[in-house]
Amino acid sequence: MIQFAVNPYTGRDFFGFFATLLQRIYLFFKGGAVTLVSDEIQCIVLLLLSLALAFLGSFLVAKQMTMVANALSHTLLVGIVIAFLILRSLSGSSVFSVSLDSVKTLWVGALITGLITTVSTQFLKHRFRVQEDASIGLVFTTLFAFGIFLVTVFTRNMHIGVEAIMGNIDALHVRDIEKTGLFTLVTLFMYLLFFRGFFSVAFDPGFSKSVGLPVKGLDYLLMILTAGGAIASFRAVGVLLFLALLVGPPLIAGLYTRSMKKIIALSFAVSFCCCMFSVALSRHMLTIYTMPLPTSGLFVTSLFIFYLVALGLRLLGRKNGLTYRIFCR
Amino acid sequence: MTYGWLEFFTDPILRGPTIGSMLMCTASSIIGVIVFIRRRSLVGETLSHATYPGLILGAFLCSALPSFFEPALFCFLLGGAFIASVVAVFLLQVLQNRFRVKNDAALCFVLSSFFGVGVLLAGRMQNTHPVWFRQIQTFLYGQAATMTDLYIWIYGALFLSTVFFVTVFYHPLRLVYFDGTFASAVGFSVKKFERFFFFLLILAVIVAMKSVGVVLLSGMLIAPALSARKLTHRLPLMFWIAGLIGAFAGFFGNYLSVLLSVRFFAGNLVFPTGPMIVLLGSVFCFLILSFKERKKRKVPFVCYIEDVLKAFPEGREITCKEAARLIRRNVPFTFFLLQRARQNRWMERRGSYYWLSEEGALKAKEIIRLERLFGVYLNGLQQGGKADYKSASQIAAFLREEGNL
Repeated sequence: MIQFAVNPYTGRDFFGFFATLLQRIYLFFKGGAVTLVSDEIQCIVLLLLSLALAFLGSFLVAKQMTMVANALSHTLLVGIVIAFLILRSLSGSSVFSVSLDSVKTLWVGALITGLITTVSTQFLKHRFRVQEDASIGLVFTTLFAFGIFLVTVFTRNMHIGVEAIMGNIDALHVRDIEKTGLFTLVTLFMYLLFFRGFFSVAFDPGFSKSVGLPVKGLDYLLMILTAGGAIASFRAVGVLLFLALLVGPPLIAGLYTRSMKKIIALSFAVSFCCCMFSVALSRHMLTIYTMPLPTSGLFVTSLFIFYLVALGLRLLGRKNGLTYRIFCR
Repeated sequence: MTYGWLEFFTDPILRGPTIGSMLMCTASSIIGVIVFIRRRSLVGETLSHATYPGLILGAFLCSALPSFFEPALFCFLLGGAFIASVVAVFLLQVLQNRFRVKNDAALCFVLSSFFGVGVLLAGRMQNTHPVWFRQIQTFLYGQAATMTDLYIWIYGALFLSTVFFVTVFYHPLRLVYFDGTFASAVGFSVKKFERFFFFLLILAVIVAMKSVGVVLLSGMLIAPALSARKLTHRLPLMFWIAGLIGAFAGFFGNYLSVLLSVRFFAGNLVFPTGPMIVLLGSVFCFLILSFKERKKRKVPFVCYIEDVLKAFPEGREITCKEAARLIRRNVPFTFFLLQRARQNRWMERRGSYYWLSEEGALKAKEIIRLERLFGVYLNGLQQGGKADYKSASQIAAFLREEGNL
């Protein structure tokens, strides 16, 4: 008989979820044996992602390069497939089995994706004098179409293409924590090393070049890290949530503060709230209404609503805003 | 199982998808030209993704109907998609104009959040209406195969309406997009026209959704327009060429996807048409780009040798290393240049020492003189052509007086 670990969150509603969570954290710190269950894995993966993407996203939004991130999120499919093919041919025929989602494949894939996308976009722009948005659009649609074609022909399965977009958060495994954690560590490390450089390049490329910073190198590094983020998140939550996590929190943070460090901190806080909220809400819906909803969809929706609320508050809080008109006149 | 070309237009099963996807791709590429001129290529990407929740909401609405028949579901889907993208346009405008969100961040955020809402609703639909859910999923990557003759009529009407709009509004369109200031000075409301532009864009998105799919739709807006732009500089021709490329990609994309489904999956799995259509369109675009590339004029190689001659001190013998320092290039390349100069008898060598031959010295003088001449000429041009001299011989005389010649 195989005994399944009972998920302690079964049957909990929205607030019960948090109670159980706190209880289990307390138990964990007391030294009790706690095995991670799917809800907690979701939380941890989402938190790790949101920590790394808060950094990446703030810089991308500041540099006005979020559409490049969108392009990267589409081209990663082709990057992974090419990395897979290269690694398979390097390792010989199935001596070391290289799977499509092993850590090595994913990292090489991220590298390839970042480089291919940026280089080809720049190439189109400079060599053929195509306008920038058209060159981004052309590159990523072509590469994505090619990726779908390759994946479908190689795996004889259409499912991966859909999963890449939607993600499959319920199928997360403990191993995914390691993958995401590795990505987050690498990103944080890079930021500790290069924060000044990124900062200066984002706001004054001319100055940074005159000071002698490798502007192009830092740009490529940022792109490769973003591709890494897309790849770390696509198995778990889909490229779509990746985009939302990248752009949404810095936008919300940008409504309230102008300092880069505060934006990063605030956007992490926002995604932390959204993450807890959506995981709890998904459990709540399942318990009370027996309605299984995808956590990634809930996450993006809650982020969207957060943003609308933040915009509304901003409107109200203005000096000639609604509250002012009502109460101060 | 093989099909001839003509059978794709006559066979009762195949003609629906073929003609349908050709109509869709033509319509979307025609509108793509406008989007391209407007430099809003990525808005198409956002709007196409934003239709996804609309599709599902449309299906939910349709499930509330008492009776079910397929064309009604289809109309509900398209209607839902239309409304969702209108809301997305509205939100985009508000974000950009009211809250000063940067263009790209607004686009990206609206894209991901709308699609996320769609995923949430889709998760619900998966449980309540699994069949419809699968049907909607085919909109992601496009699937023309299920279209019947009825769809030819639906898409024929949509195609005609896009052509109608583009032809009727052709003149104001040209006016606004090539000289917006003049248009507003004449009294033309550019702002209203922007709304019309978004309406056209949404129309293109909705038309092409079924065959190209939501995810790759922006490729179909960009690739034909870009290749048409490289082929011609005239607007009417651009529309025609883009439309033709669209029709071409639509037909062959459909053809290849049928072929692939038969070849690779033995007909078990229907290969999505969207990737094939977009791949064909963009491969075509890349071909045109690489053929029509304007060639850069290369600096003739002699120029580098002349640099050496100019820099060489007269009547002295120097080594290759010193020469390299003089012209500020690396040693091997300088060595190569010196050898080429020797072949032209401008340079002589003994051991590791080089010196200018008589011919070489004359050549160097000649080059310096010509360069001075051009330098003075260009200088005169920069000063607005108000120099003291009228001809090349006068310039030469001036220079001789200065002792430069």
